[in-house]
Amino acid sequence: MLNRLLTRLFWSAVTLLATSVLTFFLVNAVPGDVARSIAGAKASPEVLQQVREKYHLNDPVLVRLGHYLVQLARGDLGHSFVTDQSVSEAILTRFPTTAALCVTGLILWMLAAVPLGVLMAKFRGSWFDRTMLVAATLSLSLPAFWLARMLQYWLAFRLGWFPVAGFRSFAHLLLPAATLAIISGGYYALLIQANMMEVLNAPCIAAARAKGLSETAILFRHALRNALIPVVTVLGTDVAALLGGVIFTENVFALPGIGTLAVQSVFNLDVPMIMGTVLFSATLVVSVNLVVDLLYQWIDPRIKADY
Amino acid sequence: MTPKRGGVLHLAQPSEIRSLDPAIAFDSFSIPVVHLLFRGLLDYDNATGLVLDQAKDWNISSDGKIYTFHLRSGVRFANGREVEAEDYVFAFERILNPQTGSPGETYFLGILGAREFVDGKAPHVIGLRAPDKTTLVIELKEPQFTFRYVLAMTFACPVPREVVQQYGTEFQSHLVGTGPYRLAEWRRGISCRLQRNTYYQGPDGFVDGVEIMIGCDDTVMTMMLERGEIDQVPLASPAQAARFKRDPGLRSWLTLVDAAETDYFFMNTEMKPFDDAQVRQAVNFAIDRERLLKLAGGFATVAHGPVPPVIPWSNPGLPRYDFNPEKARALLREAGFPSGFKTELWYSGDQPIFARLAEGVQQDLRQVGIQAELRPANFTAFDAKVTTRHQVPCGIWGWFQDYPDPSDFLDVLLNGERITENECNNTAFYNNPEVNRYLDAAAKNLDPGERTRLFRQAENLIMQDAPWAPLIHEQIPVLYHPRVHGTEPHPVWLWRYEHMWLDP
Repeated sequence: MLNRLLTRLFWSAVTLLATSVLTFFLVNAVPGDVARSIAGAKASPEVLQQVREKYHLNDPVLVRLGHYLVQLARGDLGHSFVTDQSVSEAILTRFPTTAALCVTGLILWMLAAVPLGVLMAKFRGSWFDRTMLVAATLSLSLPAFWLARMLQYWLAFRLGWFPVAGFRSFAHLLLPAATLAIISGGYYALLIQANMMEVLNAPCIAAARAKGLSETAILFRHALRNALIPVVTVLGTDVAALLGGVIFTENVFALPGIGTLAVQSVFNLDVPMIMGTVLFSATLVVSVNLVVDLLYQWIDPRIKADY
Repeated sequence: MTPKRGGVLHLAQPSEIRSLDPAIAFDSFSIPVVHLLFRGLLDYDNATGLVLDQAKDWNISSDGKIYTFHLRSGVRFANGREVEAEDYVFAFERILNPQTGSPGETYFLGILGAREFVDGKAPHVIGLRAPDKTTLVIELKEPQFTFRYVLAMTFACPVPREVVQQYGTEFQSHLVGTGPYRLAEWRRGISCRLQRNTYYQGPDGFVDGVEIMIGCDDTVMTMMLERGEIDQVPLASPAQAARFKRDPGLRSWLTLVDAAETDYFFMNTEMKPFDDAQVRQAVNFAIDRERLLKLAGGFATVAHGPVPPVIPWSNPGLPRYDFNPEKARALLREAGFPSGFKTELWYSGDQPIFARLAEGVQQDLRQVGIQAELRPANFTAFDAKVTTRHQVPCGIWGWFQDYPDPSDFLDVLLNGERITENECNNTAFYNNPEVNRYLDAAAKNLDPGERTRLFRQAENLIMQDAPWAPLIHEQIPVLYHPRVHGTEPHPVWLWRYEHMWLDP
């Protein structure tokens, strides 16, 4: 078990290193004079030279990569080219907003997906099941940026039920979280329904029915618990997709999270900030996958046999 | 209406405030905010005239080299410490110090001893002196008419030495200035909150505070404005501005600011076929500028010369190039290009207006046989390419004034003596010794009438030589909620938050 964990940790580190190197080469391949971008078109040659020295811009790209990796090994993500703010500080300031959005979104989508999935399984083949199937498929197909803009336009701007954008109170999180809930909820409702169908046909459920348990208890206490096990794995692998949705949602609602930071950095060609946000997101995805892998063994004892 | 005090002005900006340090800030979003926190010796009246701000009087020696200012008594920084002339000396040397990385350094290089200080050959700038606490003396190497405008830029605001030395590069998170407001909180990239500076004794600053939300796109800002969540949309897109202009209920929310800027088509006079003046003149005749106005969404005026009309300046004898494709074809024939030619037209794709202008110019040129292949690039790539010698035959660029004087366009962008191999703002690489002589003479001349004559002669020659085809002067659409007053546009500051006040 320990060996397995160490191997996973090793490959996680390799993945992150590869991500850093690849991103470094990609952002450095963008043509242009970064010093002019930092100091402005009207900066003097002395100031431009100062900027180039400060950020090692005169060095060959491999030397710069070396500087970056050494800096990274010390836990230093560098400073923004644009604002001179520490990249770590920028990420840590914004992460709570992204986390709050993800957690609220997760709660909303599970609140919607779990009862829907269970009821679709219970009433399989009914008009309710068919209607929900269409709705769930539709929600799966909606682009996050479009849905976010529509919710914002109609519910916030036209009807005034929610704030349009920004993050000054919990109310500002509701529409962005609802966007995430809608684009992900349909998929999870279908997943839960499929799992429930399988579990409801299992001998243990027949045994529960034979014992005279109520249908509600069978559905929610016995069947659902088993049906949720595969959902945990999918949730883990879905973190990357979730972050993609978060980027669009945060930008539409001007939420000051990691997503808006990433997009602003790209527009500003702020290399350290782009590197920082990519690396942070990669770390998040890799860590969640690792945790889910480990959790899964704990949740489903059958998996242990494979280790 | 009499301005009322109180309330909080809610603002939003599409992108990060790069810096609020007066030595660093130099973009159109940051400067109006810096002007709330920092004030200096001079300011502008409601137009382009200079007025005293934190100095009580000033004089310029008869040879134009020595500026002497006497500071108002009782002016204090937001930390309560009284401002002294030494604070200005410190602030100016800080800008000149390459370690600061100030984009304003070049504006102060005219001070005696500034170059030696920048090169590390002198510990101080000998042309900057503070003989007593309230007297500041600035000595220039040679007369420079425009230096007075430099002193009205936010770069020239005093900063308290002890605070800068305490925080070093972190000063921008602990800003202390002499403006009507002080920085209460700045969450980088998220929001910024200003509160009244209780030590400020000047007339500006009606609202009690200013809150700025950062990172909203144009569509979101417009929705927030209409819902009353914010009070201003700076630099609204032409599409949003057009909607407000069309809607009778919203029309009064729109203010158009005539920007002191010129968008132009430059032709590299060192590269074929644009080394031929007849070709450049043909291009000027080929462009339908009235049509370009429509492509700019109608928020612009036609440019007939390099200097925008917002600058108090007129040149009745300026050669004009009205749209005349026949004449353009004839000139091309005379120049030996009866079937036209092929070229590359570069522009920065980051700015939608430049993309529209490039397409418009491409279509006009095609009508006279010139096949221009569009070469969009991101701004940094574009900037690096067009400012390097012998790289780009032609392209589209815009220049926004630093101060309201013709020299900021003619001298900075078209003086051949400023041509360098790289990072050259004279992207046409235009070099006419006669023009250079006029521009050099105007830079040192202190007589406004004589300067006007010299600039007119230079501009007339420039337009005859036609290194540029001036295209348009943009107007900036700004939207305000009706509860905001004091929103009159300003030719230099664009808008002045310190003059705005709110309905109770």
